[in-house]
Amino acid sequence: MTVKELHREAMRFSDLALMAKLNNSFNEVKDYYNKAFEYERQAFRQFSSVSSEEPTRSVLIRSAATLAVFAERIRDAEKLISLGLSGEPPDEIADELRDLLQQVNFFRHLELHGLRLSSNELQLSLTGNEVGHGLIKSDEFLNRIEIIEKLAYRTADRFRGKPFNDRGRPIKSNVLNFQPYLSVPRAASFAITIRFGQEAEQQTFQGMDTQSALIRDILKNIQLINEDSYDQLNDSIKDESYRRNFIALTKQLAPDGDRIKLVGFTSAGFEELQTVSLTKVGKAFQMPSVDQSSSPVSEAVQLSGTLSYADSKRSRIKLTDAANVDHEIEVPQGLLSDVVKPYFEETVIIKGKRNGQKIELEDIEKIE
Amino acid sequence: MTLDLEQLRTGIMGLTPEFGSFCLQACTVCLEHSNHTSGVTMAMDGVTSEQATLNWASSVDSRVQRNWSDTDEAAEYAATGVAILLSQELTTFTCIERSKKGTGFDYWIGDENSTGLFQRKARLEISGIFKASIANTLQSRLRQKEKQTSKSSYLGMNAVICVTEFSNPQCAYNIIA
Repeated sequence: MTVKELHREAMRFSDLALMAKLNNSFNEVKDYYNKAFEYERQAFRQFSSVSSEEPTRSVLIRSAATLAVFAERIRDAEKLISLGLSGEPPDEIADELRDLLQQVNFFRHLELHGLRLSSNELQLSLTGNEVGHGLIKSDEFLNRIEIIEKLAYRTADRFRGKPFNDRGRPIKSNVLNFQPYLSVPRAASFAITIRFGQEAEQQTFQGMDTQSALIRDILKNIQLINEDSYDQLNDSIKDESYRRNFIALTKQLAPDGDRIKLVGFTSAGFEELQTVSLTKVGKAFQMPSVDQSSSPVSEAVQLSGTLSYADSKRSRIKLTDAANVDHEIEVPQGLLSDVVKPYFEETVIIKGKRNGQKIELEDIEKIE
Repeated sequence: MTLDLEQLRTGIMGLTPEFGSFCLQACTVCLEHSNHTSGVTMAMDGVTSEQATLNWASSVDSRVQRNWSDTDEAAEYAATGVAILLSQELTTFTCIERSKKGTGFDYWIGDENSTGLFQRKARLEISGIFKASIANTLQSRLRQKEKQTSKSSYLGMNAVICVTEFSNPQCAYNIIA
């Protein structure tokens, strides 16, 4: 086969992987990416045996290395990226190879390197342009710890069968066993252990305590969102308020694609380490639509302005736009306390549905 | 100008029929979501201002709609389908090559018989908008793509930019010198 034929065969298998993913045939996805990788690597090898002309050399390497990541062949990806950077790739493609290397390194940092996690512990790893070796911009880190704390409290309440409560602060006795404690950070990209509850080890079998059930549940649901498996998420979190709250908090936890590029978790699991990578950027999240059953005639609206007023009793907020006009917006249950409140007095974009005079909130984002 | 979206199934411009079918499905999902039917017109800007009529025969059932729950992803692949058809219609190029980049692809446009895979080809920058908003307009996306393209000027070749919006179909197809 010629280089072109090998490359096109690689793209054909990559297309089959895309379609398998679209049809939720997840077992086939990895097989197709594996085949695509093998063809693309062969295309590069055959090309480089006769030529080092750019940009073909580095484009083929970047493509093969990307396919290796999708096929979970991290070491093969690392070798190819190193080869690519050792040549003379155009600046733009060299940057893309470096980004890919950062991603590959991130998968390594999800490993624990000899550290032992208890079943009530979770390793959080972050990488991106605001992350140095063992250093991170404080708000990128602290905000995410706060979000994980909220996810844990809400999940604990859901486990206990409590109705969703959007008002007030969590009761101390309710959250005692799930209070997060942080370890000393590690220079991975930036990694830290979060322990839920004060005890280092729970007095139960490994993996059978409530904290590990909580960690498993949170990671499973984050993975479902990352894979766009919203039908399965509906089964996993049946209560609409809890589900809306979980999606909105995970959106805030997610990478922005620049300052933070990847957010990863490692937990002890039952028998082996469980790793979950949250790679979907916040802007790509789909927020659930508000219930339209009572009024099917509605239009999508988007408003920007300052969040100037909040009424927790009536679940309403006011947004003051640039012309100093106030817009009253209804906030569905699950969003006010954990998601909307932190944006008070910030400039935000609000997306929602308008039914007559009423605007109902679907999504809120801070304007950077 | 009429664009027959079904043509994507046949593997035009050197792309696989599988990929073409994938883009066709994305196109119909995006257009039918905004209640457009076959024969809808798309305003054009850039190398031509002649509006394009979009025709298709495939139908979107609830399963297809569910599979394309990520509307941003649907818009990107739908825009790719439109860009492929417009490249065939508006340029003399005969081939689009792809390589895997991130979760999607990057595209290069040129002639099938030119030497090698990506040499002597221009970058084809494609972008799709499911539904434009104040913060996400066709023009702002076009500017963003033009900025990205200036980074590829090392090639010393033209770049082609194609941005498509699907809720009120409009498209900018620009060739950057």
